[in-house]
Amino acid sequence: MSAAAFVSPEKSQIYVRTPARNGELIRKNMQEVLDSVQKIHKQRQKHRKKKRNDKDSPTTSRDSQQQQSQNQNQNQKSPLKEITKNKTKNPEGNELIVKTTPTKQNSILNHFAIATRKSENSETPGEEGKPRKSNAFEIMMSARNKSIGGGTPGKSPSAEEVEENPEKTKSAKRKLMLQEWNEKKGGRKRKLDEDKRDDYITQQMDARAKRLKKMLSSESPKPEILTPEPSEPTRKSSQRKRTKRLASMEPEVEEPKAPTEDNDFQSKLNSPIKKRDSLLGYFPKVQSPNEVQSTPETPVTPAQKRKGRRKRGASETPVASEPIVESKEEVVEVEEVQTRRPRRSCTVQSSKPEPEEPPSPPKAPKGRKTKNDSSVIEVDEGSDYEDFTPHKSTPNAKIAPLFMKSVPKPVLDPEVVKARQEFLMSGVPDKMRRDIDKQKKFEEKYDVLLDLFPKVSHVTQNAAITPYVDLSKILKFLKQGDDVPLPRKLGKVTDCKKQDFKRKPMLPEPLILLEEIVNKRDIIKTWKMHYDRFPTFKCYNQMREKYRFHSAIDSTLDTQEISESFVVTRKSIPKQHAELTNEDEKPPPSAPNGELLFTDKYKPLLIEQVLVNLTPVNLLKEFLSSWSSPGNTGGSSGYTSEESNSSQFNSNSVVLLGPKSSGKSNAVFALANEMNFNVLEINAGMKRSGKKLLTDLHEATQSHQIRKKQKDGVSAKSLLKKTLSNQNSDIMKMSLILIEDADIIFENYDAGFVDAIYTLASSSKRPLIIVAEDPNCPHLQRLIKQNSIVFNPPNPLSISKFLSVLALLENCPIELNQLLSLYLYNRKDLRRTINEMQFFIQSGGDKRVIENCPLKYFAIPPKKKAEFMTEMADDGLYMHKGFFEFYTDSQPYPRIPYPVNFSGLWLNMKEMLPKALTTSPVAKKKRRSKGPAIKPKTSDFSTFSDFYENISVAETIAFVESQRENRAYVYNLGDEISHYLVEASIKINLNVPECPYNLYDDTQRECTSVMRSLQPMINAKPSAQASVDYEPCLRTICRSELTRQEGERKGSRFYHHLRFMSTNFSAVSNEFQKRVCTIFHDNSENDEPVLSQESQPN
Amino acid sequence: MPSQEPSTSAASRTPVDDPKKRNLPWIEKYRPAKFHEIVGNEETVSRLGVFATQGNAPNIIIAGPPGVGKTTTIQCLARILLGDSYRDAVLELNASNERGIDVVRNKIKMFAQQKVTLPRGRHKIIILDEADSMTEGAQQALRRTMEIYSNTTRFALACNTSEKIIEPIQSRCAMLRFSKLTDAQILAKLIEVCQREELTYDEEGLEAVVFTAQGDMRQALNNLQSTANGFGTITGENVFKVCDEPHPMMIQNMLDFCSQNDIHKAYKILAKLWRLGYAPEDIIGNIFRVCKRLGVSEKMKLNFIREIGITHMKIVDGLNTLLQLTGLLARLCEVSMEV
Repeated sequence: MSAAAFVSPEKSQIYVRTPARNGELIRKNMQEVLDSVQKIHKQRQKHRKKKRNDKDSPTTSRDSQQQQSQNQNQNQKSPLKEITKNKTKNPEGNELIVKTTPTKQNSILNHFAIATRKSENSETPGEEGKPRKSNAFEIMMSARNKSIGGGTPGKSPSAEEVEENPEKTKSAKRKLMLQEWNEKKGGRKRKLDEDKRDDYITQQMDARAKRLKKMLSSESPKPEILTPEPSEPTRKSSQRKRTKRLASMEPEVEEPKAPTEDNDFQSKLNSPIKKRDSLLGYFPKVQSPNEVQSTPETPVTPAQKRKGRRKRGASETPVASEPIVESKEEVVEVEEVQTRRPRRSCTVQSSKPEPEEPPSPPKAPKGRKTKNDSSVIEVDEGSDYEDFTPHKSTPNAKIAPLFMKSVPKPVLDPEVVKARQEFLMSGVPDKMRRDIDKQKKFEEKYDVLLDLFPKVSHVTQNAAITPYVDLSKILKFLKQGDDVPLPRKLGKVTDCKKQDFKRKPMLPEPLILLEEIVNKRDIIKTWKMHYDRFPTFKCYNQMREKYRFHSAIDSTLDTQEISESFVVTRKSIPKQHAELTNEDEKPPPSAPNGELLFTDKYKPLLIEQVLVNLTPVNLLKEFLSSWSSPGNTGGSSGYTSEESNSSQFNSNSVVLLGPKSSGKSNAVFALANEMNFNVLEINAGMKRSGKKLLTDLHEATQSHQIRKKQKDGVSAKSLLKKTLSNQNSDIMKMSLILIEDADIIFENYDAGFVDAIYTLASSSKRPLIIVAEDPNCPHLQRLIKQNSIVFNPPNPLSISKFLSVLALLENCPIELNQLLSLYLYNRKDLRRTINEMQFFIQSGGDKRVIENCPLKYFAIPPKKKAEFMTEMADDGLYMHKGFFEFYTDSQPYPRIPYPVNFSGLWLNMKEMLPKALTTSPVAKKKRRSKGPAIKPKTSDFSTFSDFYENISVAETIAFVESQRENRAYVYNLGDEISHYLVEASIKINLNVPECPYNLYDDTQRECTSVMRSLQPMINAKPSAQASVDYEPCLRTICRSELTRQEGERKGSRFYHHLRFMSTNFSAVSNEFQKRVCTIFHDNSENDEPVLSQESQPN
Repeated sequence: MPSQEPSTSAASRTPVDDPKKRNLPWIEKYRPAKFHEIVGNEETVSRLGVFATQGNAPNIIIAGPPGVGKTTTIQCLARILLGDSYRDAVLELNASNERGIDVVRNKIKMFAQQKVTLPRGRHKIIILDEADSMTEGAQQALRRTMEIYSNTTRFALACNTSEKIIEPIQSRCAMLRFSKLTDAQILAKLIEVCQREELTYDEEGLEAVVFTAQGDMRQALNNLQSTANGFGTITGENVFKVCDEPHPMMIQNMLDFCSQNDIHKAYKILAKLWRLGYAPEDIIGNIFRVCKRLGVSEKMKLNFIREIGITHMKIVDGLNTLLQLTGLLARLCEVSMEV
């Protein structure tokens, strides 16, 4: 009982939930019940036709009808009604669910709670009606709960309530009877027994009629309440009770069933609810007599009702002051109003039923019936509210709870809460409870101890607030680590030494600038002796001009004059300038390093200045000269106009092929400058879709000249270029089209680019020069076959001499070895080498003088090494030595550059092994004179086996590491381990002294590396069949996906998918083919002459 | 370049009088603004310092592992070179910016074409941080742009691996390689920071930070700050509490036992480490690092590391079980017997 008494809104919500969930179940049960009712009803009618007891039927029906109407009346006041209606309205299952909304349930439950309260409070016998009413709910609830499974907390109070009932014998009996009776409806036994029982019926009916009359006269509302129930209880719920009481009750219960049921049913049908219409369809005939009967009875109910109500009101008056009850009541009513359509709320305000009737459409067919019912209700309500008005705070304001200002929430007694919690906790196992307690204790402690999240918002950070948390407190809770005694000694795990802890200030290094070298010419003369067959002087002179020119620009800041006078050729070198700058001026302090990159500064502006790759340049010149206009005398050699393109160039386009920085673009510009062409350049940095390309170049391609404006727009050339072109501005300029980076296509951006090239090539009236790096580029093959000029990377020997002259001019002579090494190390990338040279020179060359110690790295093919080392007897001039080392890997490792290049390692083994044998303490034996072939002792064998094992392990590790997916960069643990292994094994196993390490990467090695990387792919083929069958397809797909992926954006999904499937993409890319092609290509011309053919001996 | 004594400048800038910097992470707070403050790779940095004063820096690519000051160096260079016009004359794009072909063709090109008045010898600078994350297409689109506008605009690229920069771009730049910082370099910086932050520290603690950093200054400063915030004092214990790694001392003990051929004790330590929940990758990494400095004969050390390497390979392949690590111990013991 206590638990029931403390039913609070929160708890009631628990109640609510369960029925809502199980509404479906209940509905089903109800459906069944109703179906059975229908059946029975039909059977009854048959029986009735046979036996036709005229006297009984009217009375019983009347009684039941009365009950029904009373029920309804009562229901209308209370939320019960909703439930009953919902329950009874089974045939329309769908709407049922809709109707039993949580709010209704809630209201019902609230009511229920109140009722129990009241029953507790009021002990007077006269108020029995109320408790009983509540009992009805309880039974309902208990039934429901049982059907649900009884697990809900709501069960216990209802059970208690049920226990209360037996005291009120009559009503209880009644209830139970009706319940039984309803249960039985579904049972088949009953049907079988019916014939027997019919005999009893007449007798029982009489008795029953008497009893009912008596009840009515005694004004007890009991029967009213009971009627709604029968329809409700589900079979499950009743089963328990049945076992107890069935035997005694049955005879009584069953007899009245038939008539009451009918009436019950019909009364329900008649009740003013929407769904009646549908129900009516079932029993059209039966209805009319019932209606007639029901009418006279209506007056009775109101009286009863009123009394009941009054009692309730009276009972409530003392309680009314209590906020809980009060508020609940109101809420209940309001909710009812809400759910129950306007009728009731209106009745309260205006006690007239009629005006409201019309608006509610569903009642229309019911007409009279509903009127009666409603009128009855109204009277009730009116009386009710008259009673209530003094107590109620807002009697008239019936608004949805949403709009009600503040429903005072029940303040929970802390003890109550505690008790409830205890109750809830009662079922929890001890262990869990202990855990919870512990947790709670911990949390409390935690809360007190520290403020884990500092109250600092990032918007207003005050300096005063320290946002830092004292972690030590948190960590106290953490388990302390281990009690392993840790030795405390520096330098055990790191390289830190004691003296490192004494901090020494880091001073900025003093700025060292290179001294101007005075006697350059003399030095060049001596160099010339060594550089036989190299056009030293030519080279020197040219570059000196440029050097002077730019330093003059720098010094005077007056570019115009000089550029006008300077430019172009040797002939046009202004005399006064040459004299003036006989030896050099100091660059001004504003820009000591000048403004230009060396690559721009020293690039050839005329064909005579081209020092490397002369053959292809001459070819190109030949090609272009055929296009130069007759008016231009330039340097053209014989060809005068277009029709003279008889030689090898039979089209208007030429493809320049060659690796990066082999001077393709520069050759074009130099030639254009000399031959007075205007270059229209298209490169990958522009939008170059086919359409745009054609529209941009249309005019240029269709006419021989273009206007100046357009030239400025399209060819964005350098300052120098402009100054140079100024000179010839009076002469009409012809245009040539230069398409750079033609082998690069971004499919999503450059749609139609290739087509546009072909269109241009076929239609253009101007020369079209296409620059591409990749000779195997598929989309250019046709053009390449037509006409192509191949550029080769300049020869390393000559270029190193060229670079050395350049370095001398820039006042920083660098050892030839260094230049050569870097050039080869950069894979014959001249531009990069020049760039790096600029960086090195302009930042001061060697910072400090490097003595004649052996350097760690070099990159010279072994064959040529000797020849290079002996070079250049020196005459007091300091040659900078740190150049190459600066650009090689600067990892702080003693010997081998960090990610170990194993193919490079074998190259060095040739050098190292002999040294190892001569000095190794293990292998004292001298090396045989014949090469690296060794005949060591057994100890040597073990040494070497150790060594090779180490190396092989290192290589394996590196290989595994390189095969890993998603490896971000080379600083992985595996790489580190493998590097360490190699380094240490060379040092320890072989005991090789420090010696220069060759980083040269020759084609032979590249060849082998390609083969090595191809090998696993070949082996990895699942089977020969597979490789024949689907591999080519797969490869094609992969390749196309790869190219699509290069275009970024969409369309690369499949590529990613493939990559995710860890398909080896490197296997399907063209990379290997390209490399192999270049290797073959290189090998074929490997033995080219050291010098460019056209070199002048000077 | 001002030849200011750094110690005095450090003294003048205590954290208290710099309230704005109070809540900054230390990696930002102590990010060097001058070249002489940059730790490590002294030669390259000092050369760049020359360019900062002399102007006309060529295009550069700085490649190196994380946390060695690549970005810092470039920003230093740009700041000193351009001074007040930094905002107008520098375009900085890192991996969080869109750097597709479109951006290269439009934004970068537009910036390169812009006219900004700068003193002679100075150029606009486009900083492409994390350039190795640029797609190949974008890099291709960049190549000619880099050349054409070289009179007004220079590029400075930073990346982890130079291999991911396409050759044509590499060809237009000077490649500068940064290496990992040495332990002493990191230590020196840590001491400086500790003094500026007025932290109490002991040498062991700093050494622990250095160990966890592995040549990465950013990591070192972060670890230092976490420890300082957590505990206030920098001790070895605290550092390893914050940077939860298999403790090098435990591992060292383990390896010592191995070298003494005592597999039981060694296994005890390994089992403890395993129970503490360290990943086998972490354990093997620290084993390697500790082993490099193990006080045993070089030959034995080499053999040790070979075994470690083999085990590492297996672990990387996914065979990261306790059994493998135990097997490693057994083999280490065996090796130590042989030698």
